[in-house]
Amino acid sequence: MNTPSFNLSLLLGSVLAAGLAACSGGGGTGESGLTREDLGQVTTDTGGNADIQFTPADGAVSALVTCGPYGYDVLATAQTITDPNAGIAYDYNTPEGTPMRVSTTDDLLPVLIPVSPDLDIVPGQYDIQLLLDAAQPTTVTCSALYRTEAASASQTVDIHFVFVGVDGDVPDLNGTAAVDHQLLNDTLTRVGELWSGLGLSVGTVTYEDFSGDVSTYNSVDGDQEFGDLLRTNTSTDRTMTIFMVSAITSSDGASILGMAAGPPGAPATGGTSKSGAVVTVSSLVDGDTDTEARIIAHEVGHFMGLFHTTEKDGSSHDPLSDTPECTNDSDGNGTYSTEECSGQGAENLMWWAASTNAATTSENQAWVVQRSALPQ
Amino acid sequence: MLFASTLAVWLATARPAHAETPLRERVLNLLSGYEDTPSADALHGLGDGVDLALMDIAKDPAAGRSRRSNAVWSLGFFPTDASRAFLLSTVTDAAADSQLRRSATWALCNGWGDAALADVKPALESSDEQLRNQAVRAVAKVGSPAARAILQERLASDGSAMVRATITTSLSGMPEVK
Repeated sequence: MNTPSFNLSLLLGSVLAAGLAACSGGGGTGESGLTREDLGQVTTDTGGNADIQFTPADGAVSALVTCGPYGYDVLATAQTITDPNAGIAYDYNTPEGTPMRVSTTDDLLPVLIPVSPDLDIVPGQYDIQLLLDAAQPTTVTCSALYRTEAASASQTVDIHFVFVGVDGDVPDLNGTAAVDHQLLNDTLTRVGELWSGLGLSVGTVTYEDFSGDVSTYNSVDGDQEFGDLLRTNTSTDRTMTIFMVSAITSSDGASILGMAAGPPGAPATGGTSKSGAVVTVSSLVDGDTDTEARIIAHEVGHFMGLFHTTEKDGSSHDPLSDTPECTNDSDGNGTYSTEECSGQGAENLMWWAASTNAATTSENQAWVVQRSALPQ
Repeated sequence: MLFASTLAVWLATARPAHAETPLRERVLNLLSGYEDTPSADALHGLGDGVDLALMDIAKDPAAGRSRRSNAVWSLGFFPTDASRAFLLSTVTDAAADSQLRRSATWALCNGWGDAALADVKPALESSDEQLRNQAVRAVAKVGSPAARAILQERLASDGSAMVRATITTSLSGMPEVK
């Protein structure tokens, strides 16, 4: 990533802000409790920087700012975030010193505030300095989604499953038969158990078969296919869309269990490369509903703004004070393994590996997800 | 006597907790990332016998499809004759899980490069469309003139639009043969 040279500040009329598409009541659109704001377009300077300002709607408990699209070959993050009191809420160069995290991601950058109780949202204007590693000045469109519904310790997450030709792997796992599918229902029961400590339960579950190119997306290969698949979700409902696929492979062919946009993803925002999650059915193939449930619960945790308690290489930790940070790589192989980090976060649902006992959650993790625009 | 028993207690408690964990379990843990894949350094850092543990896991249905698949794939970090023979037998086993065959194809290309191109020919010619597609990606990753020639030949003969699209995309990202 480049370091900033100078800022191109575009003062976006905060008046325009005040709820271009503020909604209430829902009427089946899933908009109840949310306020949307079009933040307009910004163009990065030659150093890759651009400023975007936003003022959270009255009563907002969270703000999700998204900027993009800028393509899969470009990465972006926030260089700094300045809060209404002119304090530096986030600095790309020293993220571990702040109670804030921002992913570095392709195509569309989501920034969620708050991701920790140590940095609650406050009234007034925030400033995000974007940083894109594009070679040329790039114009992106930004918007904000405010959760104006109060946080609650008892909420539900509606889930919409999209099956991408997986009934060849798990018999009858398709849009027609899924409602009575024992393995999937057992999985969802376990997801509810895993989320109970977060104050969440599984709400309405709906199913459909993928209507696009099943051959291509049955195995999701690389970031572009991942993003393109998520783009096919055009719903703006407060529903977690999960694409169930046979396999996800990295650029060098390794198998991945699941991928969520973000963290965080873009709840209630359809048609973007951050509009859902993709999960493999590889555990259901083995009848292992516990692991399948942990994959789903973990990926949706990312989508709602939770980070790994400790990254595999130990380079970063989540910003939460009540989740242990692992500092033990005693064999020096560069990986903070499950056995090395026993008692130091490896038991948490947001541990980087799906170890069999990674199932606990913390009060601060609950605090974060209860402010996401997804649960209601 | 007292010194000896004290020393024994100290040695036992001074050992890292993970040293008590069997190698197979430590390997399994590295294969269990949600979004993370095992690295060569991490696996080699576990010491001797990791390649044997990987083959053991790859053959064990109780390990689960994902871990078995990543065990097969990780053998590309251990380019021994035994690993290659294991991977070749997996690629050519038409009764094996398609995911394992795909991972074996990748491991051969990642671990042996040009030398493995003949090994993965059965995957390129398989009736399994997804296996062929992964084989194309793996061969493209080799990136050599020989790999390019194989893909150009497949482009003319593969019956799947998806595979042909992957070949076309792959060729566009590979250096031209001079």
